Amino acid sequence: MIRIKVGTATCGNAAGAQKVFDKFKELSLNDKDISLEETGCIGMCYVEPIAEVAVSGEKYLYGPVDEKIAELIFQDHVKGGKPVEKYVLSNTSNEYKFNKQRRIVLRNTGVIDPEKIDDYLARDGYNGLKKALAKKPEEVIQIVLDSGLRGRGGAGFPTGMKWKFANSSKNDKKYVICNADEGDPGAFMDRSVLEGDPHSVLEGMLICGYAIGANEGYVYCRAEYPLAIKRLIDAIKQAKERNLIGDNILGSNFSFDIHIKEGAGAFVCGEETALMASVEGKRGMPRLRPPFPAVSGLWTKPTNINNVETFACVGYILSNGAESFNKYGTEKSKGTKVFALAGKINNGGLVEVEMGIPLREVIYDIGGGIKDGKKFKAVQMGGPSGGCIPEHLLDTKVDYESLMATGAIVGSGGMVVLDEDSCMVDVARYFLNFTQNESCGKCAFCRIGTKRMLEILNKICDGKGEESDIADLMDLAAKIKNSSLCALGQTAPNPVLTTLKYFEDEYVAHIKDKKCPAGVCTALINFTINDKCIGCQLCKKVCPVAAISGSAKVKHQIDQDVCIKCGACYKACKISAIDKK
Amino acid sequence: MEEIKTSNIVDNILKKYENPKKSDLSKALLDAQNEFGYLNEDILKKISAYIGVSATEAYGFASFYSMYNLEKPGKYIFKICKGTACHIKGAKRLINEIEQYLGIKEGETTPDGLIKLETSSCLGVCALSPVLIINDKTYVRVNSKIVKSLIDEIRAENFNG
Repeated sequence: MIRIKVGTATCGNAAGAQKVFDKFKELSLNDKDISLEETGCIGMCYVEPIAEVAVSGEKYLYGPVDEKIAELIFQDHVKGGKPVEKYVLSNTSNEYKFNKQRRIVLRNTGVIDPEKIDDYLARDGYNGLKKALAKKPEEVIQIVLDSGLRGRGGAGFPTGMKWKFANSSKNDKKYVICNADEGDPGAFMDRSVLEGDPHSVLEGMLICGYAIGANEGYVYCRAEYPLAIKRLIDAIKQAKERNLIGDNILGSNFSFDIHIKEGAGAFVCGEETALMASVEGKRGMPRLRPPFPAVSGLWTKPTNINNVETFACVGYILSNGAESFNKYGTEKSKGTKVFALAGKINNGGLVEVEMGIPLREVIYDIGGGIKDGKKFKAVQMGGPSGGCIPEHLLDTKVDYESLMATGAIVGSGGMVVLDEDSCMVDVARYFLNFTQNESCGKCAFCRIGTKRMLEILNKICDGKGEESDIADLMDLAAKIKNSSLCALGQTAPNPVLTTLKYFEDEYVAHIKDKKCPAGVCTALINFTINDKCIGCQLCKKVCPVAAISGSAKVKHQIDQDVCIKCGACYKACKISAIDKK
Repeated sequence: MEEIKTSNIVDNILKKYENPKKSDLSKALLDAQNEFGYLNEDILKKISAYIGVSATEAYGFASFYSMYNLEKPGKYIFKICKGTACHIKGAKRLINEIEQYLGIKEGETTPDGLIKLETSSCLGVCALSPVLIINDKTYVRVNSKIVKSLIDEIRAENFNG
């Protein structure tokens, strides 16, 4: 039996995986010795579309594959038994590129066909639920407590503790909610887990339901993730057919039903009280806590909310014991964490590492370093709530406490790498623009304060910065942090504060010297033509505003008053005769 | 005529929701939007009356969430991702160039009603940034040249054919 797998998660599909899958399907039609399967994200997004060919246990991973290469692989490898070395990423003997990675959450992602429950069951799926149902709810909670699992959505609150609170709330109706409103720009871990292994999330929710005494659950998923929603709907249907969701699950007294609720595009709904308001059919605006959801949550009933990745860990922990999880990680941060590597990095994709691994190893050993041989400048972690970590802190350990000390956070797991061409003031402005847009408007400091900070940052990037601006930013930041109800406002100033802390010189260059060292802020850069110019007229042709003058074979000139700084000439020039300063 | 037709279609959509609850509002609005492309005052009024909330509340709900269109969008909706990874890879410049090429600003629709230019929060395809979605199809690693040729294709398809 020869198995061919194609990764058809969103990244793969966007890169053309469906065409590759169809090609293999066409070629293998009526061939009973070949089994063609779809699977989730294999994690190596930078070489999508990816296909795996397994001949008698010997696996070869190919990428990037297109229809032509698929045909080649089919003829030479599948039919001819000879791997097409040119496109091989790795094979069983060099064990993929998962060295330094430790896969618990992603144990099945990219391995199983997410649309087949039997694939999940064959890999110990729902074994954790079976074991949980044989124990008392309090024993289940104790195992989760012992595992040291902390919330993977960003805040890092101990999961077992949360369950304990919800368990001790007395009420005949309780709810479990899975927060799949992954809104942090630069983060796509939850999407990949939902698309690649939806049952692991459902299993975690079922175990939680049993542990806290709930019989109904909601998955609140972003509508921007249509494939994740489709896979969840299918998975719930299949689990119901096997009596893994529904009444008297597996012959026990425990009944549990799961619904899907689509989010409608509001970042603030990732905050738990806003999320619950949204499920109830209201505008998603956070409210004061206490009361905490464990006491009064969805429709005022006790509710436990965890993130996708947190739930995906639970089945594994129950199935293999607390020790299988807490043997990894540091003293206070146990287990593994999935990160989405993106930005100016060679091997962008999804990685799962042991907590406590130094950042440098993630970026250089797993991520393959910086694109195009450029110089590393910073890594942005935790999205709009996080911060930028500079090069001299690259040996910081990836755990909750160590990252917090730098001013950034583990957050949900986005890791966007910035190189020398990224302007830190512009990055700070980018995030402020984001939070300012996404503020629900309830708290004055978050609503108006972020707007004022954004105005100051715009002013600095436009070359109109004043010396008092930095002090004003710090002052506003402190006030927004102290006077906002929810984490959105409380953390909104972080991107500004960390860039000010580590890259104040760039702010000063913008404000005092009216220069953008990275050459990003258009108002602060000028394009000029140097003596290398041979008068080829290429730049003159591409200039959209006719700012360039000069006859053939004579050095050209740029009229600075007309130039709109679009950079078209800079890109067009083949002999570096245009300077960007 | 048009109004009666709209009204009938909305009735049909609402049939799905027996004993409507307030929490059905989001899905009912989305169903209607999938049918009409956007939500106008008549549709909002009709749905809110059925669900049992005031029209003001339904409007407040729909205007809070970015998914709902309250104006008629173009036939092709271009969503350029504005996530961090895309931003770092030059999404802002890309948006500027496309704005110039289409002659409209972000959030606007071309006068011929063909293309609406939107930006989107992170679409989660960060490793292949910059990302563009046209209606339901995702394009990755795009640049202004690619996007301009996509626009040309759409224009040719709709005006010459």
